[in-house]
Amino acid sequence: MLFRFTIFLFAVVLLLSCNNGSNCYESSDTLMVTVFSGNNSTKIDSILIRGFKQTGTGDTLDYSTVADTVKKIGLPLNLAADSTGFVVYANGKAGAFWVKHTMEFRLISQSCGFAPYYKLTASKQSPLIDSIRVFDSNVDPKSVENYETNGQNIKVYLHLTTP
Amino acid sequence: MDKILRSIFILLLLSPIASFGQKKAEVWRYEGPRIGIDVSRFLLPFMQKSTQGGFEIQADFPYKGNFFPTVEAGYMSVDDVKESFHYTNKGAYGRLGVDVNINKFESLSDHDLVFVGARYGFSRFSQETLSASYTNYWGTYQTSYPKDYLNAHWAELVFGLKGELLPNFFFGWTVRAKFFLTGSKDAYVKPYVIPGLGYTTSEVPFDFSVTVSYRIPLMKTKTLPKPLKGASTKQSDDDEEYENPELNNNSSGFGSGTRRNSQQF
Repeated sequence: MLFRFTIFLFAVVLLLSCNNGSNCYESSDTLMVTVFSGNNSTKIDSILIRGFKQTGTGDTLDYSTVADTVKKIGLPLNLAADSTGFVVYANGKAGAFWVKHTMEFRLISQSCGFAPYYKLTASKQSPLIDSIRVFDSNVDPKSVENYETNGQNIKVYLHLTTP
Repeated sequence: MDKILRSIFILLLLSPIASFGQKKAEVWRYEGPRIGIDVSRFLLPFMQKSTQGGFEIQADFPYKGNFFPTVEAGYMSVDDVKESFHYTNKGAYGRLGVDVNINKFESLSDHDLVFVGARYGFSRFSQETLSASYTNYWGTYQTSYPKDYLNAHWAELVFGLKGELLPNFFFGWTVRAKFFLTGSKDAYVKPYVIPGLGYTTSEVPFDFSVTVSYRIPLMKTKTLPKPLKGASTKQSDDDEEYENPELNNNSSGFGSGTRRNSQQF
C-alpha cells in the first residue's frame, strides 16, 4: 500500500513541479561594445554619441560629462542596412565613424526570442577619430555579457589633442 | 474479425472480475505485454504557456522476469505565440530501450516494479517561424522562416516506479535524463523543443511521464523471477501479506498470495 501511495505522491509532485520557463535570464540586446580612448592619454571630459543622421529628440545614445581616459559604451547596430554610422562629440569636437557588417537574425531561446547576430567586416572614420581597431568582429547578444569587465568589440582612438 | 477482437477485449477486461466469485483460487503469476499511455501529455497543455498537445503510447514485454524491452511512440505539437515571435513545431517520435527491475518480487502476485532503464530516441519533426521581430534604436526588423524538416537522435536514462493498482492495471511514473546525440541543424532557428526529447534549454533536459497501462495476461507461470543481484526488498505496510509461494507449493497455501492476481484462464 505504501509503495503504491508513493507512486501516486511522486506523480503529483512531478506534475506540480512542471515549469514553463517563461522568463528570459539571458542577454537579448545585441550591442557592439565600444571603448573610446583619447590619444596621448588625454582625458575625455565629455562625450555624446548619436546615430548618423539621427537628429531627433531622444536620439542620443550616450552622454557623459565624467572625465575619464576611456569610455565603454554599448552601441546598437542598424537592422536594415549593411553599415551603421555614429556621430561622436568629444571634448567639444565632432567626428563620425562607420562600421560595415553582415547580419543574421537568429533565435536565442524560447523565453528570449530572436536577436540579430552581426559580423563586422570594415570600418571608416572622419578626422576627429584617429583609428579604429576591431578586437572581436562578432557582435551578438552575448557581447555585453562577455565584455562587461574586460575587453571590447572595437576600440575607437579619438584625436583630441595635437602632439 | 472485428467481433472476435471485441470478444477478446471484453474477456480480458472481465477476467479479473470473474475471479471475485472464486473462494479458493489457484495462484498463478500472469505475465504478458503491457500497453499504456502517458497521461502527463494530456495535462501538460494546462501547465505550459505555449499551446502544446500530443500523446504517447508505451508497450513493454517481460523478458526473463526482470527485464522489460520497451517501445514508446508519440506525437507532439507546439504552437508558441509570444510577443516577439510565433513559432510552431510538430512531429512524431519513437523510443526503444529496456527497463530493468531492481525490486524483489515478494510473491507470485507481486508485479510492482522499481526500475532503471535506457532508451534510444529519434524524432522526425517540422518547425516554422511564422513571424519574428526585434526592435532597437534603429527601428524594427521583422521576418519569418519557412517550414523546415529536421530530425534528432538522443539517449535517455530512466528511473521509475510502476505498481499494479488493480489486476492487470498499472500506474507509474518515470523520471528521465536525456542526452542529445545528433540531429539536423537550422542555422537561424535552433529548435528549442524536439518532440520526444522535450525542451532543449538545458544541456541535459529532464522529463517525466505518468503512465497508466494494462497488461495482457497471455502467459502464466508458478515461477517467481529470481531477483537481480542487489535487488531491494520493498518496505510496505502490507508486508505481512507477502510470502514466497515456492516454499509453500500447494493450492490452499496460496490464499494470501491472491490479493490482486487471482484470475483464472
